[in-house]
Amino acid sequence: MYLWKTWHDSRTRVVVYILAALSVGLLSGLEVVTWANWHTLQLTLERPIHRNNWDFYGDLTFDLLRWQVIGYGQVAALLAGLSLGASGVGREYGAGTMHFVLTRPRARTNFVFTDWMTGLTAMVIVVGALAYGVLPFLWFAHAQGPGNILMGLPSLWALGAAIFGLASFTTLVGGSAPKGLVLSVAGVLTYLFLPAALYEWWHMDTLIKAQNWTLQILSRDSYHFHWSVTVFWLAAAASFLGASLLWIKFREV
Amino acid sequence: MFFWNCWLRNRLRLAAYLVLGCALILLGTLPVTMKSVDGHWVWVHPKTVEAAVTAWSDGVEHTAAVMMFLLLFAAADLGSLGLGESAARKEYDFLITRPRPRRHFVWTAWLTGLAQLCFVALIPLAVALLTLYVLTYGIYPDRLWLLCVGTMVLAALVFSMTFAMALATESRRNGFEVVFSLLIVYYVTRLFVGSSRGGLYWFFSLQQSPNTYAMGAYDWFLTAQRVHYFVPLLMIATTAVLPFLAQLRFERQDL
Repeated sequence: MYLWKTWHDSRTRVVVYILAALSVGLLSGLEVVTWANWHTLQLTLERPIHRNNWDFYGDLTFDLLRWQVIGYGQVAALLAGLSLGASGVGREYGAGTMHFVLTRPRARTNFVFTDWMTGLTAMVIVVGALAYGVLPFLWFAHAQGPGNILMGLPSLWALGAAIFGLASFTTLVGGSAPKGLVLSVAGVLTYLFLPAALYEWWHMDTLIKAQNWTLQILSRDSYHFHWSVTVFWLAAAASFLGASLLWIKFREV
Repeated sequence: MFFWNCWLRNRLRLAAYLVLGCALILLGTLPVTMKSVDGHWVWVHPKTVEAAVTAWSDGVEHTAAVMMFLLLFAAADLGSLGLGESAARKEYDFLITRPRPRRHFVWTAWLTGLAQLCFVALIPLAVALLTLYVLTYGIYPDRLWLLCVGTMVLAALVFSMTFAMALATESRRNGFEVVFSLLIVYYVTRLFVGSSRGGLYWFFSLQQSPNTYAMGAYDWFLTAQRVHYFVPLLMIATTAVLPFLAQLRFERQDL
């Protein structure tokens, strides 16, 4: 029952995000193919038609499409994670419906698990929609197979799950969706800003090294799957889940 | 009366932003006179005017980066707390029983938020000036005013946008989300358009200044050509027009 309510409360947001991600994927794919075509044409005019030109075209298209998926993927993971996380069970406090929710014959932890299941599924679909929009253009350009592009998705999903967890936890602690959203945005900005500030201004490189390690999944030059970083973000998401479970269990109402 | 209602509602948030702003400003300005001596970073008092000017230049860059980070976030948050929050708290029914026209509430909420935003800008800025003066025994602000005005104009625009969006969607959260998404889309688009000098280049990026953390807010002011002053003017005009749109919406709302 609560599953239905959670879905009902967030469905508009989810549909808008999926459509936006698909549109961005399709548009960026179209832009890349057009751009790569133009450059290959220039190359072909400069030297006789050679098979290498087509290899160049395929490689260029693949690289650009991969960059687009990583570039926009992190934005999609961020927005979907924050927005859907702020739709967590903590919003019931702000709406004044928590007293009613807790009269249901379910353990408190059940509501958190249900929220996480719905929210994470939506986030995975939203981030995936971005890559699915790009795939037809890979086939069109006869570029490398989709495996290398899809390989980046689990890391983005793990990152999105951690952001979702942060937003869901802050919503629970803040007791309302707007407060949770503001706190989680502040958390994300601090994570991005503070290590760079300490490094540039105070010449302390410990935090920036740690930050670079955790964000290497977003690097354009990385072509292999980052097991350790993906596990790190999943562990961060699990920590937020554990903290949320403890919080709701010991909260008075 | 409604002014105090709005002010008191945000007072704790305002205090939190001021503390955060001052802390970030100290984080950014204190290290400007640090030098590496025998492998250790220590504070060295500048002995020449040139050294003091260099320290001020660094301090101004750091202050500008902090102000942008702080003001944009505070603007989005304070803007969403205008009348959008009243809708969520179901205060409209009570509000419109007061012997005031509806536009009074819109403009009072808008002005209160803007006044608080000015506090968030001015007090950390004063702390920055004081810190840099204590460190260098001189005042060489150079581009500081220009950078801060640029950031303030952008922050005021974000504030107005969030204010109008929160009122239009009758939800503080939706207003914040819409403007946050727009900001991200703006910066991502800017990365692509700004690097390829497309037709919309003038809007997204005129010139990246190599010696600043400028990311969109300032380059309109710092561009060497100085032919695009209409962009900040456009931003100021939009900032002023948005409350009118919010007023129109609020006056036509069926309450």
